[in-house]
Amino acid sequence: MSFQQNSRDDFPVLGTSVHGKPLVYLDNAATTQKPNVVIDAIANYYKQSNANVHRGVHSLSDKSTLALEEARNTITHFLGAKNQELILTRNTTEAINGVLYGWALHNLTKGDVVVTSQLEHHSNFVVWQQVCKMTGAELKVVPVNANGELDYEWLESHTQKVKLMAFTYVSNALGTVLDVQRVVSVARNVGARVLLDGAQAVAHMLVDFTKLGVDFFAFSGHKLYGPMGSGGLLVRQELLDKNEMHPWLFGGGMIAEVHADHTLFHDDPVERFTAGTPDVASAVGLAAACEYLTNIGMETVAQHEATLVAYALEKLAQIPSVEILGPLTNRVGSVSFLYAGVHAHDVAQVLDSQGIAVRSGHHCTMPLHLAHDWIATTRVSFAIYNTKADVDTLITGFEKVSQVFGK
Amino acid sequence: MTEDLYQEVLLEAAENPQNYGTLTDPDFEFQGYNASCGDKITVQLKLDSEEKVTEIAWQGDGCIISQAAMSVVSEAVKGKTLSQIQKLGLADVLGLLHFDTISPGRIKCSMLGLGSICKAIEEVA
Repeated sequence: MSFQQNSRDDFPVLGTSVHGKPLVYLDNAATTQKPNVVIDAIANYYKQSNANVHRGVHSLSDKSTLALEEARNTITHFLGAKNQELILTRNTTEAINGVLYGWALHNLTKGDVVVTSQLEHHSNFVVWQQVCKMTGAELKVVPVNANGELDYEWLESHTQKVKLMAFTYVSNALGTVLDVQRVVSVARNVGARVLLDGAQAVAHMLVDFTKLGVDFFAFSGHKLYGPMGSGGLLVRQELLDKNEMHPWLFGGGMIAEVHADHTLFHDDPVERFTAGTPDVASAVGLAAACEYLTNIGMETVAQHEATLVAYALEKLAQIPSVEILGPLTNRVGSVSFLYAGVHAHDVAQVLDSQGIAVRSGHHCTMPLHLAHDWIATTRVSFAIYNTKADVDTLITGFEKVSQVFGK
Repeated sequence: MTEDLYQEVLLEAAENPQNYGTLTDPDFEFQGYNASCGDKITVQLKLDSEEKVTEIAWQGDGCIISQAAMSVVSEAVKGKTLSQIQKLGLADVLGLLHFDTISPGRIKCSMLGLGSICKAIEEVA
């Protein structure tokens, strides 16, 4: 039995039907399905270990605290980071907002420059527009060429007063992979911090936060086969040690001493950045997802998905009405396209009638769509459980699109 | 469901939209926008002294549902007063399209036209 056949059986939802047809799930960039090990880990936590953490001396509280600690170790090990570098959040958006409130508001002033790109998801774009409004800093947007790749030369020639570079590691719309080394090298030369939006990277490739050399790395657990409402922000130890990164949520758990007129925050960054009761079950679920992927091996995952993306590109290119968007090489996860004469929502609806789940719209990348004058695009995105047969079903599905709309 | 959704009448409405174009002397004009997909619609209205719609024209790009819905809505609002138009809702639009129901994901598409008109009426009222 092949690797993907095994993995399909691990995901109960893949055995369900849509409109009487077997589900072909190709919307993995939006969220991945959850394997049994993740679902069971969450259920088992609630059945066997549920108590508030760090609060009591009783045994169940210790058990819950240990579960959280082990989950943090597993997640950070999976991402090549140190335990104390992880701030658990609900998703990538919350993690990026954390950099706004915990770093940018303390370190940006009028005249400073934040650089982002046309390729960004709104979560890594709107945040920087807002911070510039709040601080008087200026937002510069790196243009993207016709192939959906960043104009690195533009970046290299617009470095004056840059304090932060915030880029997506992998584009959710086009699958473009960022040249992280090149960005980090430009940033180090001018003393700028680098934030990577890793939402579309973590499930598809081996990520080593330390080796990447960036300052912030935001990711979502739910795009990594983990539960909804799980994610995190990795912050480089150095920024934590010298208090360049500040807590942005205040209250219980993150304090050392509270007096009537002042509060001292906790010395330990893990505590300092965990205000309120954490979502232990989600952390445990996310850790189970990381273990699941480690057992398969991220190299195997990357290789399998690269085969699927290449196969999809080859097959889509044979349909005359389809125009593939984005780079033809060095791309990961997502393949977006236009279908001549048929709106993306209508393409998606007809595919859905055949049990095929794809995404349609602007995929939260309006600046990219506006720059290229695309009203809406259709996106297929892959995961470990997808097969070449899924791509074949998709390709056959276009026959009905052509039949319904006569195009 | 798709067979029902993309029935001939709908495809016909989208292919040959009613009142598509512009007016030379509109009383008011407004833009509607579907944030989930980027669809845009511009609608122009001409009213008589009793605030009844005498002429309507619209332009836009979008999916078949939003285009067909705007087409049938543009016919339906003719002769109605602004307050009568404001009383129209999703059920009326679905009725005009001969739909029994629509999936939650396509409600925004079917309501883009009427929703934009109603929002504009609120602004001028």
